[in-house]
Amino acid sequence: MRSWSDFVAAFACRAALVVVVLAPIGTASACPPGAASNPSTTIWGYEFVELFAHQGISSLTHRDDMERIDLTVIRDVAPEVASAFIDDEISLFDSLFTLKRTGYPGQITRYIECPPELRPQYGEGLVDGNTIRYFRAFANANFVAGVPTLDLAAYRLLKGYLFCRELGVVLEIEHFSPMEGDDLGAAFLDRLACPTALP
Amino acid sequence: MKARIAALSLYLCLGGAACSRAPHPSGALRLEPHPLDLIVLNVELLRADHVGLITGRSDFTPNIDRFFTDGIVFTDASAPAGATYLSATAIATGTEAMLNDHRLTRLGVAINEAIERDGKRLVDHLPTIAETLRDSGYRTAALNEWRHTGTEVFLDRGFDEFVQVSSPEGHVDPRSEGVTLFSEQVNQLLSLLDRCRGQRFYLYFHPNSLHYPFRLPIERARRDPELYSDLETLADVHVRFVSVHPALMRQRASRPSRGAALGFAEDREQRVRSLTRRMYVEQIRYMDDELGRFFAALESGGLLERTIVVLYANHGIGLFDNDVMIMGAPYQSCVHVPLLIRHPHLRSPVRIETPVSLVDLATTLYELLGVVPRLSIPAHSLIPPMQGLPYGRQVILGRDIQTEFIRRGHWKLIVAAADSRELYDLSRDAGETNDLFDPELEIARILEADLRREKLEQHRLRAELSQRLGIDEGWPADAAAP
Repeated sequence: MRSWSDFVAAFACRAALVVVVLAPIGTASACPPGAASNPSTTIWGYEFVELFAHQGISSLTHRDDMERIDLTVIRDVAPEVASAFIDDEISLFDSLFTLKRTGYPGQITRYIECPPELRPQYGEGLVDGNTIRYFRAFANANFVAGVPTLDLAAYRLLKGYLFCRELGVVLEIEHFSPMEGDDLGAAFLDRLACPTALP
Repeated sequence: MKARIAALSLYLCLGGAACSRAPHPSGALRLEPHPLDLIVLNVELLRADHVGLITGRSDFTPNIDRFFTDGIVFTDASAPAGATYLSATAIATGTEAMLNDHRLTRLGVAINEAIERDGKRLVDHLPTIAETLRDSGYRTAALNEWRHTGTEVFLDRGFDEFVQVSSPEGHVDPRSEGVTLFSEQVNQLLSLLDRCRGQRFYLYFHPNSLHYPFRLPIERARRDPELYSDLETLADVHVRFVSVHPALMRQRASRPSRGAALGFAEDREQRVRSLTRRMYVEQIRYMDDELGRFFAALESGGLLERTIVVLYANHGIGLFDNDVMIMGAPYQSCVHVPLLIRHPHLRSPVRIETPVSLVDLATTLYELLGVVPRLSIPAHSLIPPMQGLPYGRQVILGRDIQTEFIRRGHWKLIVAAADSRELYDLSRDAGETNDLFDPELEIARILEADLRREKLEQHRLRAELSQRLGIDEGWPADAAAP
């Protein structure tokens, strides 16, 4: 069920087009950068605006009062490459929260120290017969994953990777919902499917 | 939109030497393949901005500058990683650090400690420079300091003689007796050189003496007592900087310096920074003096008429730039390194300002020496840019434990695992102090898309090479699950 504010935000974004379309790169705007002049498409019942497309990779975003969804679509990916790529990305993300001394004096690693209840929770599920691998985590006000204390958590985050084998497409998905609202992550997961139409 | 992206692509292209015609070097160059001897000096941690031939100020490295003055100078060479193991493996095999399975770099933290010597890693089966040259009839010998570039990570393979030198770990008084000094390593290197004479040879030297704790002979250390007057503070600060969860990426929002965040008074932090830099410079001067002895031996021994000599650095050192004390970060302090080549058939100096990757050194050496590795791996030779021709490589890639970077010309994007991104224009901001991610968002997005494509290509290449070599990296199905 889409909220009214959803449509309001989308309309406002379009209206702003008139103002910013000729603005130079990086001009501040209420819209996501690059969103105003770009086509929109509906995926999983959400209206997405394409921010960027280059080399078969598209970045799309949906924003409303209750949810922000950032979606990266990577096309023309072979199954074995997709699997390795997703393994790699999952491992990279998880390494941020795994305290492991490097054993190497001077080696730089980053470690986000989270209490257990704030540590990202790993999960897997099936979407149209394909495995989605994801983390449920918390993000700060800048939409950056990993917060050390609950008071810094501004959003619940679902960060996932889905390879749609039939399409040869990897989807990188980030779903944010405000802490003060309901946890919409589980419902969002249920809505996921391999899209039949992509921009 | 598409027109906009096309325009930006052109913009990136114009900004990058890879797309435009490479600047003509200052000397004409014709180098035919020839089975010459080869000496490679991998002076780990030597920053490009401390080498006189690159900076134009011969303050710290007069012997290196003199020896390579008529050689080939790459002023903008990048190491494929800021971390030792990743970079050393990539350079030795002529493959991107991204070819490493990240599960390995995480589990092993780039080191073999957590991994059995079970030979499951693809990178351990790729031919190294030493293997290729030994297969081609060379006698191969190495003097290596530091375990993460030697037997523990299989980089001793291909050497007929591999001499491992121990080095101190943790904090030691640099003035201590009993610590292996660089001068002793040069003595050992000269002995190895003597044992190589009389046959076609490849001699590799990897010292680690620029790694903290710096080690000076006592008589040199006494010249400037202040440098070593506050070892306790230095040790304390350095340990904190390297082991107390140092956040790798600076947040784009302003915040206190790392030292302040760790509870150090600003004056104390500044003092430590200053002392560290001075100690580093003194260590370079000492190394350069000792390398001068080695160069003199080469010159007097009549070897230079049939020997290519290469000097590079595995990676650089932070020295607190970008809040990085030592290494392992994607900033220029850690990845901008010297690459100098002295070739006996070169009669006038060549200076190359095109950004190049050290990943391509192996292929370049094979072409110069006229040898063919047993496994063909896609690479780009550095010979065309030496000749004023375009460099085949479009982008330069780097990977460390938790970060990746991509360079196209003077634009550089750094991506960290938790969605932190930084964009720099190196033509205006070599020190990477002004993050342009937000104001140049479209350029950042193009580079990030390029980075994703390059990563996918590396995964594809890894699968292809694994299949060709019949290697199953042997990960259980749930190995990548946290």
